Amino acid sequence: MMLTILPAAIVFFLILIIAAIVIKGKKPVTLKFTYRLLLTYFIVLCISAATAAFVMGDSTGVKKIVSEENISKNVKDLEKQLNSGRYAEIPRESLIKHSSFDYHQPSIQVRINEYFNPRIFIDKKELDDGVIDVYAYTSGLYISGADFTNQIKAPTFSIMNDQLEINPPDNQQEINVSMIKNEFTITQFIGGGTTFFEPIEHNETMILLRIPKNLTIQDEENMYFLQYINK
Amino acid sequence: MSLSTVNTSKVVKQQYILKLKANFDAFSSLVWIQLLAILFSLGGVASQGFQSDGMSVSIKYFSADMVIAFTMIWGLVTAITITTKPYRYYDFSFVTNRVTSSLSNILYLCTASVIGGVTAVMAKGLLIIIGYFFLDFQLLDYYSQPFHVRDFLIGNIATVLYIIFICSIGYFIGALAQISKLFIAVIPVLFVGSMLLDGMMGREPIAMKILSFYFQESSFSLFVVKTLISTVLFFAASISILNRMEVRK
Amino acid sequence: MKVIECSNLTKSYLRKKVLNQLTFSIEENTITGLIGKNGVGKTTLLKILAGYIKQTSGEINVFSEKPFNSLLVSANTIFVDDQMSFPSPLQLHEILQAAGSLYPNWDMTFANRLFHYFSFDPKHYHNRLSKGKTSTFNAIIGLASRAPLTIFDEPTTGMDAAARRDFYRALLKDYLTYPRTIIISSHHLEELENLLEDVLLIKDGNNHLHLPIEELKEQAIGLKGAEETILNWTKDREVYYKNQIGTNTLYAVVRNEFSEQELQLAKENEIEITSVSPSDLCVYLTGETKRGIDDVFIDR
Repeated sequence: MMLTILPAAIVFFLILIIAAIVIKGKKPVTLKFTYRLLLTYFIVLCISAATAAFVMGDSTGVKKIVSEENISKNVKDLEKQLNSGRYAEIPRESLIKHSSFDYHQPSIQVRINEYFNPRIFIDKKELDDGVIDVYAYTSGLYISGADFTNQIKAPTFSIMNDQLEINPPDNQQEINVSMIKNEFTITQFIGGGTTFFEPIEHNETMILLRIPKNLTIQDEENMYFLQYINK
Repeated sequence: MSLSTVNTSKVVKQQYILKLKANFDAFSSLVWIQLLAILFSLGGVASQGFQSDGMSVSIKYFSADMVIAFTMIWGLVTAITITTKPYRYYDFSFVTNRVTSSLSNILYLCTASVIGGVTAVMAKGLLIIIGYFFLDFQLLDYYSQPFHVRDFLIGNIATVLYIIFICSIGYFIGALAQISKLFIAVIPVLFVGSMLLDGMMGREPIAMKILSFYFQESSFSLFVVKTLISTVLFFAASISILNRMEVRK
Repeated sequence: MKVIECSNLTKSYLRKKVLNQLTFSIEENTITGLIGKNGVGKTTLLKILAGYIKQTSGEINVFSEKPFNSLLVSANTIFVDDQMSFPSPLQLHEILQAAGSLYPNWDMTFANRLFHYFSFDPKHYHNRLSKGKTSTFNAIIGLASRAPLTIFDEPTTGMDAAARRDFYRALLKDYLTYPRTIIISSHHLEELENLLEDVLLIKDGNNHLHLPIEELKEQAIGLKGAEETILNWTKDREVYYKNQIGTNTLYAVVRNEFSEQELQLAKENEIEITSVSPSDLCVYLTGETKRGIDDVFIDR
């Protein structure tokens, strides 16, 4: 909401400046006025600086920092754990959704959205209990190493007739981040970049399907993203 | 009446005080220009986007770069202004010679650069406050604590040096223009012409080399030396140009 | 001591020579009037003296120094004219303060008294003053600076008669109390006659005449009478001016080299003898031709 005020504020401010110039032309701006203006501005800057330092230090947006090696380690671990069936070992934060469906038909189609193609691990259960469990796991969203994983929305699962549909979350999720960068007069000597580019690591969501023992998946040869786990 | 002896440094000092007073309205322009720059910076000075899997990430970067750039332009204009006839003539209503006139101008420009530079660097705080409280910035801070003392000091000194350097260039351009208005046309033509020529020959344009001489110097002390010497050279050249100018023709 | 020494001073603009081999000198603590027609180079000369512009050739020394870029000359000289400019944001009282901070001999009390006498508003701005008030204010600065060399270039431009009178009176009084070298360039020589000590007359860019005003008063004599008689009397003399009045009367101004007897003789020949004021004399001396404006109207 505030952001829409911005262009209006710019216009208003420009009008103010033009008006000030016009008025200034008629009556000379006195030394006292300018002195007070400068002093006020400087005091405002000082207060802002102090407050800003406080705000930055106290920022609610500060996230945990994860190193790059840990990020890749997390991905590999997740993959290994799913692959070998040791999904019980997967940390709770990685699980973003769990759905159970009753399904008694002998076979099922798995459909995914064209924009959303996660890897799907399939685990055959010991029994034919007529229940399909779908789990969605993520190994994290990291912006420049900061952990934004808890902002990831889960995909949606639904079963219609004989189709299991896995779709991206309903609302396009938006994450807005404001980064304060150092000015070129500082980065010139200290580094921190002339480029405005942060590494964003988003590792794909992985899906685990636990299906009843005798359930077959239709057309599974063409579904390259399906992978049966080996125990 | 017997002749009074005269002390050059005293004259320079008095002229400097007078000029601070007489040109103080330049600082009101400074405030408006910086506020305008802050306003423009509120949308972010750069941004980066990322989309996948039904999620979009948008990163906006905020810094006082624009405020510094605007302040540099302000410095340039201020410096050029005080080389124009009306301003040069004022000194001659009182006690002066052309050297003291320029020296007091330089002192004034240095003061203006310090004020402009410090306020420009500190404007970042104002930017953050406005953004955080009114525009719902989602702050992500670990790269740049804005008031890490070392960064703050370096930023201030470097910014002030840049502005003084640009003031000296402006003063020089203004002095050249006083010799002949032709210079105002000649300099941009030379500039653009050399870039075109270098472009055709496939060489790096000389303007880029000159710019990177300053802007890509990563050693702070080397940078200080480079800018200080360049500033002194430009000012010295300007003084010698203006030293021959007649006034009140 | 010679405050100003000028020899063969020449100043040309493009191809026109404004000052041409001008030579003169001015002694300390004198009031000199600089007289000449419009455009003859008075202001140019004064600006060279003040160090504003440079000569093309020749030598000029003020206080034994070249005035251009001399801080000594600048500190001890003030040049007052109607083009004096001050930074526009400064109010009048701030301009006085500025002058006080730079001129070593500045007398602030004197300046303030003059300021209030002429009813200036301290918070007013210089570029808003009327023409006459501008001249008055600039003159105040000139007087209060007590500069050893004080130059006034047409200082009374736009001033009303009362202000002019006050200015001359103030100038004279202050000069008598605090002597200094003063040069006034003016067209109102008749008003300055009681003030000046010397007169420097410039004609054709040259020093035409540089005399004490007392001598100038005696320099010429006016003869009026029958045309033939006058022509006779002025035949071998230096005639500065001739003018026909009426049908047969001629008025001539000649150099005064007459002895007492000759003057007596002239009176007996019905020649009216009048003295010629320095002001009138200067007009005649600087005249391009020996005729008058009436000639423009002759054939109409």
